[in-house]
Amino acid sequence: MTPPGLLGAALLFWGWQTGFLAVGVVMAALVEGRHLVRSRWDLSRTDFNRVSDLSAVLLVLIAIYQFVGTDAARAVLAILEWLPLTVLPLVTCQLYSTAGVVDLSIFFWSLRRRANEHPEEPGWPIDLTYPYVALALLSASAANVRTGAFFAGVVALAGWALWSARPRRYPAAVWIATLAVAVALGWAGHVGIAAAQRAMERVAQSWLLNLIRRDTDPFKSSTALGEIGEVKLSPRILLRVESANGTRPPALLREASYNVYNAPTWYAVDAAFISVSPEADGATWKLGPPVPERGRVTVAAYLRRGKGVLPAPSGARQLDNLLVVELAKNPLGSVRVDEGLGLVRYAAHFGDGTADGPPRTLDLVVPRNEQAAVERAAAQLGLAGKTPEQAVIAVRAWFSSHFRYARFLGARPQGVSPLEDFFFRTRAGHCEYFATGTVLLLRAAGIPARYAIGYAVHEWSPLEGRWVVRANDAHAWTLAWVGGAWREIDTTPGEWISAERETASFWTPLGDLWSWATYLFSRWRWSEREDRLAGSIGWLLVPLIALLAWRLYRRRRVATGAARGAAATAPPPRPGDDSAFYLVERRLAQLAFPRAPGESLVRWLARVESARPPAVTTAALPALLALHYRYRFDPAGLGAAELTELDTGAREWVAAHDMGGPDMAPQAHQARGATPPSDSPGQRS
Amino acid sequence: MSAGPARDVAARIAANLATVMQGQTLAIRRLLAAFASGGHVLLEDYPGTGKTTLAKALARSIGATFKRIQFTPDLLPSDILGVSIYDQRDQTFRFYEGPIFTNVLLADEINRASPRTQSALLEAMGEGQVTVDGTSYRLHDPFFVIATQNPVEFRGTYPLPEAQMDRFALQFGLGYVEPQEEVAILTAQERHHPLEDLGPVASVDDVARLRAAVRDVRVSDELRRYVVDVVRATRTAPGVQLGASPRASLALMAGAQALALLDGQAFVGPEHVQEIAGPVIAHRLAVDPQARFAGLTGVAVVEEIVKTVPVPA
Repeated sequence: MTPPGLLGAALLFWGWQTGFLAVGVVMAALVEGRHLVRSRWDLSRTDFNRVSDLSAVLLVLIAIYQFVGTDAARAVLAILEWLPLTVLPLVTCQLYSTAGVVDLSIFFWSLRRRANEHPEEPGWPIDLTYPYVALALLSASAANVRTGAFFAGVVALAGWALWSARPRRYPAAVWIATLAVAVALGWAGHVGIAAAQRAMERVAQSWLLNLIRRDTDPFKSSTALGEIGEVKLSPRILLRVESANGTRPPALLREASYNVYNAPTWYAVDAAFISVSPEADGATWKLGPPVPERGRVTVAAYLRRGKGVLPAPSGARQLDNLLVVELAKNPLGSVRVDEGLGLVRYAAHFGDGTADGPPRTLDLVVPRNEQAAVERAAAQLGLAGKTPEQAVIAVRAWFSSHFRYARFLGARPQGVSPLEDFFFRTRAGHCEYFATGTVLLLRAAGIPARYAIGYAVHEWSPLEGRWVVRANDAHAWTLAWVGGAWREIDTTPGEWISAERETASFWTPLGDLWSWATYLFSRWRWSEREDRLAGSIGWLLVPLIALLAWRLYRRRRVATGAARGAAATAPPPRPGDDSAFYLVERRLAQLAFPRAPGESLVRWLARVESARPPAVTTAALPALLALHYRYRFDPAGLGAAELTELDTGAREWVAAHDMGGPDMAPQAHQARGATPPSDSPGQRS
Repeated sequence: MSAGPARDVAARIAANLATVMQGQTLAIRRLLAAFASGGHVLLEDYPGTGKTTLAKALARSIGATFKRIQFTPDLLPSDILGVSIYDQRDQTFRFYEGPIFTNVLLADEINRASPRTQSALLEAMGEGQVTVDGTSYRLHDPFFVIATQNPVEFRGTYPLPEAQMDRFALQFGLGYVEPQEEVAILTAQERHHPLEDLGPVASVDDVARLRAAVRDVRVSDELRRYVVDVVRATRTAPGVQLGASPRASLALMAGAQALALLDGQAFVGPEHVQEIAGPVIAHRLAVDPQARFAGLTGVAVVEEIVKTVPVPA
């Protein structure tokens, strides 16, 4: 068993490090309360098994909670942080049980079965307190606060634990010096390891930097232009869209737009992000000067690690109810969250036009290696000399009448760019071909144009009662500067939607159901601020703890004392309990001769006699004690005359020692008053 | 025999032993407590402290047969129990009794014999009979074993396992006597050993009556409970791997009864339990190796328990 206070201190340290100090204080009070509460529960092996199962359920719940809400790496750390809470029921039961230990079998089904089959075999009793202290330290480390306080705390707690188990053969100074050396080595070691890790990370970073790309990059969009084979995207639901009073939401939600094409990638050049300040309520973000509102749409999107680009209608000027910490936008209309929760749900207000920056010369550039093909196509369409509106109509008509949507593309002839092949030979492709082609054709006609990516909103989910957007609804289209504003032009043939639908698998409805459940859970999980999470987990525990408390309450509680093991059953009868000799004992105890619990009366009296107290005459006591012993311990008992002799002798002695001084008189009366049976010494049970 | 004459027998034996064992009142008291309660004794002490003398003196005091076996590594069970030999004339097997067929047996340096031989003796102690070639032979009555062990020398020894230690009712040491008593020993043995003058002061029948009288000493339920509490406390004491068995409870109660008889008391008092608890329990405890390394002994464990378990008063 750990020394008193260590367990509580470890839990407080855990609470402090992980930021759950309030929870830590409650837990510490619970485990240290065992020194104040005298009663213990008489728990059987089955009870311990139940509590162990409860802990396991708790762990699973916390694991589900974490894995559904966040990514795996963070979830593992969070579960580790919460482990002391998971194991707390077990430790509490150990501390408040008469056994004082738990059996190893509670952790293993195989051992439980064995224990059931052979109940007579001794178990493997283990003390959970020291492992629990270690666990609290480990969990505190998961918080990773990276201050010296953590190291100091670990050293202090470990030192405390070791101090109580130190070998007594060596002087304390030697022990302290050894510990100091170990601490110094530990400090130097972990600093060195951290330095080595940093150096290795620097080397590895340069190798890996260009290998990994994920999520929407507002600066660069690699297209699948020129790739051979089928473009496949998953039907996973990414966004949920709700429009005010049931109107149809905007067909396109834009994530980013780009201005420079260098096959096969679009880049956003000269588009630095500037951070946006929220309005006073902290949840309203203005993206541009207000214009007459044309509509409002509510979007729910997941963020990975609290970061991501927000999809919104191109004309969005204001985002409401967006609970994020840092938001930034770029002149090409991308809105990026730099710090937020796992799920954001925001209302986007949009009007005509966009808040994007005005066209620049970059928006008119046709890359040199595509120039020939684009000019040939432009000539074919007769774009030269047309007004921007006419040019847009011509391009749109050309694509819709001569082109078809295709996800599968075969090999193309040598030395032909993918775009040229698309324009003149295959006349089939996916949205990236159409969007890129449109941008470049419009630029060739002198119309500033940009390449935009995002999602198409077209699917109403009867299950959820809102619009849903899947990963395969990802789309690319064109923004063209026509009539003094950026207009969205989508030249991809409308059949692409039904073509993508065909890819839906048999299992998609099942996946949707799961996705919906996850979404509901995530909404609940992220609906409040992080600091309220501890509270919501706590509410989850209330029914479990109540069940446990109820089960424990029904257990028979037994009293504890110096000999807890001996008190497991009712004490034997105490014949002769009314002996008048106890008056003598009390009187002598008041005269500074209290009897120790393990000291028999004979030894105690010998001690009193050897001390030769001046105010006490002990001559009569041995005879009285002999009578008392016969009265108490001889099953044959005392005769009536002997009993009277004991009673009168003891009372006389007490009376004779009642005159010790004015301050002793009331104590003596008190002593007599505290012995109710002394008035009727003859009655024996 | 009622308590009075039985107590006289014990007092006579004690006085007789005291003439040859100067300054060993406590050891004699413990030896008699074990003897009167029908238990066996393990003496653990240095060579030359009078273990053999004590055993011999006891045997002489009650006019009983005495045999001594010096345990060695090559001692065989048949060297103790006896052996059946084929008699060519009668054409039958004849059993030749071993040294175990005696009243008082001194098993000297018992930890020098192999475990096999040790267990042959210890089984005989437990059962009161030996079985050789399928035939059981009853041992003499009274049968009292005083085994000795040397606590300092461990080379070439087989320490008794806990299960076998449990068979001894008491274990104690004699210890070195005070200087003036050692001088008295020298004076007494100047011409001849006082043991040679020692005559019997009681008969074997007296011993049987003494043992019966011990069993008649009254024990209250409360003290029985105290005995159990003390023994049970060893099972949960820190630093103890294996606590004392119910056999220890039995031995503790019988030892306390014997002490009460020696004190002329017809019932057991709590002091009797406390006095004999150490010699009865300590040797049965298996102390955790780590705790033992830190200096914990069985005796210290029992002392601590006696101090902390509330004693009936």
